[in-house]
Amino acid sequence: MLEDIRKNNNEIPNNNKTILLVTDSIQHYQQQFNNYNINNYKITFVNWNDILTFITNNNDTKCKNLELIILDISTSEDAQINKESTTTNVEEIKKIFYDKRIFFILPSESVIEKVVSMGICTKEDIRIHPFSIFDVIDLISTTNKKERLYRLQLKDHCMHTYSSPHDKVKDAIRFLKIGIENNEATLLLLDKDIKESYLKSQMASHNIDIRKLQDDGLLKIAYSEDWYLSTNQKNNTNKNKITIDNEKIYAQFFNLLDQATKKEEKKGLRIFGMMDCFFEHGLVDEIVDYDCMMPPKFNKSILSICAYNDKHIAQLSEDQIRKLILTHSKVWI
Amino acid sequence: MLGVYSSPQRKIEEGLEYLRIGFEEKNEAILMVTDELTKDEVRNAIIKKWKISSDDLADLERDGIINIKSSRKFYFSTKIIDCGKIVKQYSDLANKAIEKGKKGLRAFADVRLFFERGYEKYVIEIEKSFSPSDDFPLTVICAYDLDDFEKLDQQSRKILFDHHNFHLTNNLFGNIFDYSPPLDLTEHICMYCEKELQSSSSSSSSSSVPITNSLLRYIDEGLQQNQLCVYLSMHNMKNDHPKTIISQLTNLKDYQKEKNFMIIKNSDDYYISAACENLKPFEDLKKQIFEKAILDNKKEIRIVCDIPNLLFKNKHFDQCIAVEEWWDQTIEELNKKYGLSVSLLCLYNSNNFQDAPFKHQRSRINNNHTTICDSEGIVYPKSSKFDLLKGERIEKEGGR
Repeated sequence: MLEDIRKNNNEIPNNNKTILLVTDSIQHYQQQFNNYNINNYKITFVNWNDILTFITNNNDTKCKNLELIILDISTSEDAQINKESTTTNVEEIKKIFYDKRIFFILPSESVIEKVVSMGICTKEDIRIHPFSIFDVIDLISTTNKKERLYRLQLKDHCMHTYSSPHDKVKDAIRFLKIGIENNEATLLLLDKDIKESYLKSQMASHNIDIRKLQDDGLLKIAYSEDWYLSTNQKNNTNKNKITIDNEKIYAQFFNLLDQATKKEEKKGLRIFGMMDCFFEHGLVDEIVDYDCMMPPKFNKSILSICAYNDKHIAQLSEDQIRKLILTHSKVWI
Repeated sequence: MLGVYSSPQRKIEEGLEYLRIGFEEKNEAILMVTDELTKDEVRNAIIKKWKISSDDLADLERDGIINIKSSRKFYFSTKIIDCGKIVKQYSDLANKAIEKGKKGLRAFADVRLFFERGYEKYVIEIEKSFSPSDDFPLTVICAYDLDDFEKLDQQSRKILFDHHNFHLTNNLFGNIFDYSPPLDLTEHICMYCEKELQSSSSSSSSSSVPITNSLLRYIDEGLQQNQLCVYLSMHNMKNDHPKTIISQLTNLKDYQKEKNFMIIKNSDDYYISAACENLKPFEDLKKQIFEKAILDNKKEIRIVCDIPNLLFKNKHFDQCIAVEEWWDQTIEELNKKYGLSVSLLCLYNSNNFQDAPFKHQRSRINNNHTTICDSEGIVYPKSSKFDLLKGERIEKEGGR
C-alpha cells in the first residue's frame, strides 16, 4: 500500500528526492498534499502496518534519494505512542535509516515530554498535529540548513535563552569546537553554579583537552561574576556595592582580542557569556543597559553569545525584552 | 463619534474643547466622563478656559447643564456592566437638557477604564448597543487612547469604525490606499492580516496569510495603472492558486493581467533557501524582475511577498529579518541604480504574533518597513508601539 503524491510516477525525474511519511492517515494527507506541488521532492506514504515490509524491500537507489522521514504518531493519542509495535517500528526505522533525519508528528504539546523521556527523539525533531504541506517544506529546510551555531560569524552579537545549565554547557562546548575549527580564540564566561569539575568532564566527553587549548591560546575560561561585576565601597557605609563597570569590561575584552589576534595569531575572539550573575545580584536594569550598549554588529573581530536563563528573561518587562532583541543581530529565544 | 488620541493629555484637552464648543456656541448641555482627572481638576480646567466663575459652574452643575462624572461611577455603578443603564443615563441627561431649554446633550466619554480593568469586550458590546435611532438628542465622542485601541483585535476595531458616523482619529490612521495616485512607489509596507484559526485538521491556516480584499486591491490598482505586479506567495504552491487569484482580479482584460502580472510559482524554493540563509533565488528574482521591467518599459513595480510570514511562523526569526533587509536593499538599489520605483507589500498573519517568543520579535519586523498597516490598509502611526525604539536603534548605529 505505497502511494506516491504524484499520480504519474513517469513524470518524476530520477533526481527527485523522497520524503517518507509513515502514517495511518494516508488518505487524509493525500487529499491535502495532492493540491500542492513541491519542487524536486516527492512524498511517499507508507502505512504503519506496512513499514517493515517497505524497509525490507527498499533498495539502495530508494535509500539514496531518501531525504527525510516523517513518522506520524499522532493518530490515536496515547494509544499509538504506547503501542509496543510503534516503538519497535520506530527503533527499526532509526536503525535502518541511521544517517537520515527523522521527524515525529505528535498529537499535542502535552505528550512532548513523555516522548522525549522515552528516548524516542529530541524536542527539535517534533512537530505537532495538525501537520500541513508548509510543515513539510519547513522540515526540508531544517534538514538542509547548517546548525545555527555554525552560522554565526565574527562580529555577530547573539542572544540565546536556555532552560537548563546543561544545555548551556553543551552549546558552549559546541561553540568552542567551531572556534577551534576556525582558529578563533574562545572565552567562556561561566555561571558560578557550573563547577570546574563538571565542565572538565563534559569537555573530556567531547575529547577536548582544556590544558592544551589554553596553552595554544584557543581557550580562556573565567567566571562571569569575576569578569563582569565590580565591587565598590560606598562612602559612609561599610557595605560593598556590586556594580557593572562598562569601561573595565570593554578594556578586558579588547585586551583579550588584541592578545588573541596579535600575539597568538588567532582570527578573532568568540565569547560565550552566561548572564545569570547579573540577575542573582539584582542588576536587572543594569544588565539591559549594559547589553544595549553593545551594537548588533561589532566593528572588531568579536563574536558574542549572551546566554540568558529563560526564567530571568521572564522577569523583564516587554520594553526591556524589545530593547535586548534590537541590540542583538541574532536572537534565539 | 469615535475619537482615538495619542496621549491622555491630548484626549482631555481635545475633549474639553469639544465640550466648550457645545456649551458656548451650540447651546448644548455637556457631559464629561473620565477618570483621567478628578472632578475638581475638570472643574478647574473649565473655570480657567471657559471663562466662567466657580459659582456659575456650581449652578450649571446643579441644573444639569454641565455634568462631570467619573468613569468608575458612570459605567461600573452596578456589579454587572449594564448597557441599558448606561444608555438610560445618557437619555435622562439629554431629556433634562431639553427641559432646561438646551438643544441636547454633548458628551465626551473616556473609555480607558474598561481597558484598565480588562473589560475590552464590554466596551464593544456597549458601542454596539447604541443605535442611531436612539430617540434622544445626544452627540457623543467615545474616547479611546491609542495604546488601548491597538489592543483590540481587527474585528473589534472594524466594529468601532462601523458603529460611528465620524472618526476623529487625528491623522493617526491613514490608509495605504488613500494616498493620491500614484502610490508612493518606494515603500516597504507591512500588512498584518488576521485569519480565524480553523479547527480543521490543517495547520496551514496559521502558516499562510489570507487573501484579503486589500491585497487584491493592491494588485488590481497596480495592474490598472499599467505597473508590473509580482506575486510571490506560499499560496502559489497550490496547483490552482494562480488561476484563482487571477479570477479574483476585476476590471481587467485577461491580456493585461497576463502581460503585467508575474506569479512566481516555485515559492517553496524561496522558503527553503531563505530558511537555510541562501538568498540566491531572491537574487535571481531581482534579475528576472529587472529584465522584465526593462523589456516592457516599466518604471513602476508592485511586489507582494509572504515568504517572511512562514519563516516567522516557524521561528526562523533571523532568516525572516534577513529577507526583509534584502528587500529593503533591493528596493533602494532598483530605485537608485535604475530609476525603478518599487512598492513592496509584505503580508504577515497577525495571529502568529500573540505569544512569546513571537510577540517579542514584532519590533524587528516593524523596523524593517516604512509603513505598517492592518488588512484593511489602515496605517498605524509612526509614534505607536509598533515603532518603538526605532529612534534608539538608528542613533546607536549612527554612533558606531
